[in-house]
Amino acid sequence: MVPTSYYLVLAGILFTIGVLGVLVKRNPIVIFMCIELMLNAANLTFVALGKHFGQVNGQMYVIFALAVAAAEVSVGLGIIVAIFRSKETINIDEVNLMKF
Amino acid sequence: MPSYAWLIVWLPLLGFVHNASAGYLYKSLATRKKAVSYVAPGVVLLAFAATLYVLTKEVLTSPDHRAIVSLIPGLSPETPWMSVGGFKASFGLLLDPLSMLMAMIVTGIGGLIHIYATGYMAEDREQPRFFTYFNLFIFMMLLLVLGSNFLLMFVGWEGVGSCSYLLISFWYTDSNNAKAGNKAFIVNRVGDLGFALGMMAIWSTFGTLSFFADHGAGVMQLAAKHVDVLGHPLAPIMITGICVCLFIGAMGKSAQIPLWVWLPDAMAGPTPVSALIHAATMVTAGVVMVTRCSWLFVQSPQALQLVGWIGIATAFVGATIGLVQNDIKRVLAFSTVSQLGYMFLACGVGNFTAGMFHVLTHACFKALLFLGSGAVIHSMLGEQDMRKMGGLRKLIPRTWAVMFVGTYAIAGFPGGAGFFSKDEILGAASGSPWGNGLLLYILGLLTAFMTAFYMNRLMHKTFYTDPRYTNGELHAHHHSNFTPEEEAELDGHGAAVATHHGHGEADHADHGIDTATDHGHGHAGGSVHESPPSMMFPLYVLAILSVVTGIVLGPTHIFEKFLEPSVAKMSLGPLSAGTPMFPETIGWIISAVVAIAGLAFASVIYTKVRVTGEALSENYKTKNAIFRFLMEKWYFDKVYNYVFITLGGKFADKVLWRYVDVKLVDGTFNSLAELVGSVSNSLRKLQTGYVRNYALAIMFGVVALLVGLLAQWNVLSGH
Repeated sequence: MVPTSYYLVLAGILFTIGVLGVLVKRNPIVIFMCIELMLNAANLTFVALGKHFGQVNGQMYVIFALAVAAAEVSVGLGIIVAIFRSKETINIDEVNLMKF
Repeated sequence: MPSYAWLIVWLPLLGFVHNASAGYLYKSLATRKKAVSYVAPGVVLLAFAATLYVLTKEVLTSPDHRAIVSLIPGLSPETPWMSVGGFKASFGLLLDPLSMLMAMIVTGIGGLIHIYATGYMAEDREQPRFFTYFNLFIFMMLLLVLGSNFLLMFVGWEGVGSCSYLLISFWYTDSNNAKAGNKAFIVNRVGDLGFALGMMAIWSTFGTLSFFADHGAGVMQLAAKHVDVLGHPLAPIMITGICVCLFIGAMGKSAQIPLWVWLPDAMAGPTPVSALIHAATMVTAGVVMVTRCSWLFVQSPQALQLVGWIGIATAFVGATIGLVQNDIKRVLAFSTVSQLGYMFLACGVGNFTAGMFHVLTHACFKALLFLGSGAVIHSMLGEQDMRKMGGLRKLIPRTWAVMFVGTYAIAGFPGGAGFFSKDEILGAASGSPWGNGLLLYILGLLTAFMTAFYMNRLMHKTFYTDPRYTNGELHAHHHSNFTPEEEAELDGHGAAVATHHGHGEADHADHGIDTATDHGHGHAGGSVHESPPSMMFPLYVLAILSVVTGIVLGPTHIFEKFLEPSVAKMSLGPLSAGTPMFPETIGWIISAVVAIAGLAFASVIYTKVRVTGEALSENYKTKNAIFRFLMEKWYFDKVYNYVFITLGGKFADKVLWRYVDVKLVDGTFNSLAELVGSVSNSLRKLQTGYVRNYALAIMFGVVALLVGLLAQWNVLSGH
């Protein structure tokens, strides 16, 4: 039986990798993947703690999160395609019109 | 028993609504004017009938001659009109001898003036608009005199002011008329501020605005007991302040020094307006208000003194200016100012009944004189300058006869109405409760002398001296907001023109809607003619009243007894009522001698200059300082112009605009905006446009939040 803390530490590591990826990467596809990493770190925590406390809520939230994430990815990918069509690039640093 | 008092007030309002919507109700202008000329006087006369009914059946039969009923039939008089926090006001009507007397004057004499106006305004294409304002005025005036509290009185007070403004500038295409209306309105604002302040002071002292209320909770009842709303004794300074504030309101409405300057200019309106509003009713509102508040005024000797001195000063100044005027209506305007001064003098010396008696008699003879002068002006095709009149006695004998009666009534000739009312005031002034009786009496007599003089001067210049015009070649003064061409165009066709054209010069009166072509040749060949019956009938009635009211009500003391329940006795206050210096008969003899002397003096002077009608040479007029001083109205207008228009304008331009507005107000807001602008200018640098910067900021935020939460959790759990 693997202790719950192991799952939590793994989730922490995954989350940190996700955050770092979002902060340093310039390719939006990679940034997306990192976001998914963070989401799944959270999902892992849900499931682990749900098991730990013997409740079904954790698994329920994970299903929610998966559904929302799927929708979010489709919207995000749509945006990326739209950006590419208008700017001929998807480098995130080139997309900085919303500034002073 | 249900009261019918609401009818008095609502009938004129009904007439107002009818006249205002006449344009929708009747298609042709002729029917419209005909309907209005029946409805407008009709509702006022019906209101007069209702007043008589209410007076006899409701007021005189009630035990203390006082009843409070609701303005809305069927409601209790205590039904609140507005109720804001602790503040309450009802819309009740106070029925007592004072309010019924005023209602009778307003609807009775007002009704006669309405009848007269149907003749006077017949030719004006805006006649329905005229009667709309006229009926609205009657409604507002009735609200003023019948209202059971200060607030309702104030509504009427402001309402009559608005109507006065609208009617003075009735012929608004002449900008002088519009300016006169503005002047009246603005000067009245000053007085109204005093009234409003007085009202607030009354509310804070007495906790109510009702004149009379059940269980002795009304303002007047509390004042009679010398207590305020909490039962503490009244502070003399407070009661004086209230009285002075209210009197400032009265000064504005009743044209007293220093707020009298608007009344002479108000003569720009049509003559029935001058008669109804600026002589018989509205300008006496101040006297009515002071009399209504006599319970307050008797408590304050200082306020009474102020009222008395302002009254006698106005009476004197007005009469002196009246001596030199050339415009027939302006003579009467200054005479009105002067007579109003008499009324306030009476109030000031504590004889409110005498003041109200003069209101009544003055309403009769001044309405008569104004309407008579209107008839003269009408006969002269709109000429108002007495220098261009003369010899009218033979041409319009009936108008002369009524003017003669009016002149003798106002001059105080024995038997006329003015004789008895003025004598009562002079007698009261001689026994002034606060001293100076002899001085007041002498000034009053001087004023009476001047009144007799300038009225007979008016009669001589207009009726007795040789004509200073050629009969048959009078030039018409066209009063209308439309030029003849515009009227012809509005009528749409020239068809109607022919119908009246044949009447020739004998019927000049048709310079109206359907004789547009007449204006083309400016009434060449217009001659003097008597006024139509609709104008003469009210004159006869008023002439009879000008004689009868004095004799019947004066020496018999009926009037005093009638008004007694509405007026406070001097004994309620710190002063005791004075007694006149001499018995009534001696006072009558002195007054009669003075009046006859004044009349005779004018006769002697103007019989000598029969041909020119000018007692003084032009050379003398320009050189004599006193004459110029009087001609310039004691320089009141000049000084006001300089202080308020010139200096006030400079102050507004240099200080208020350039400094206060531009620098202070605009400056504050502009620098505030600049401050916000510069702060946000530096803060906007944070918005880099790089998503990762924002993500980093969010991460730091979350970390800080978590650290904070953990630290707090540690503290709470005692680690």
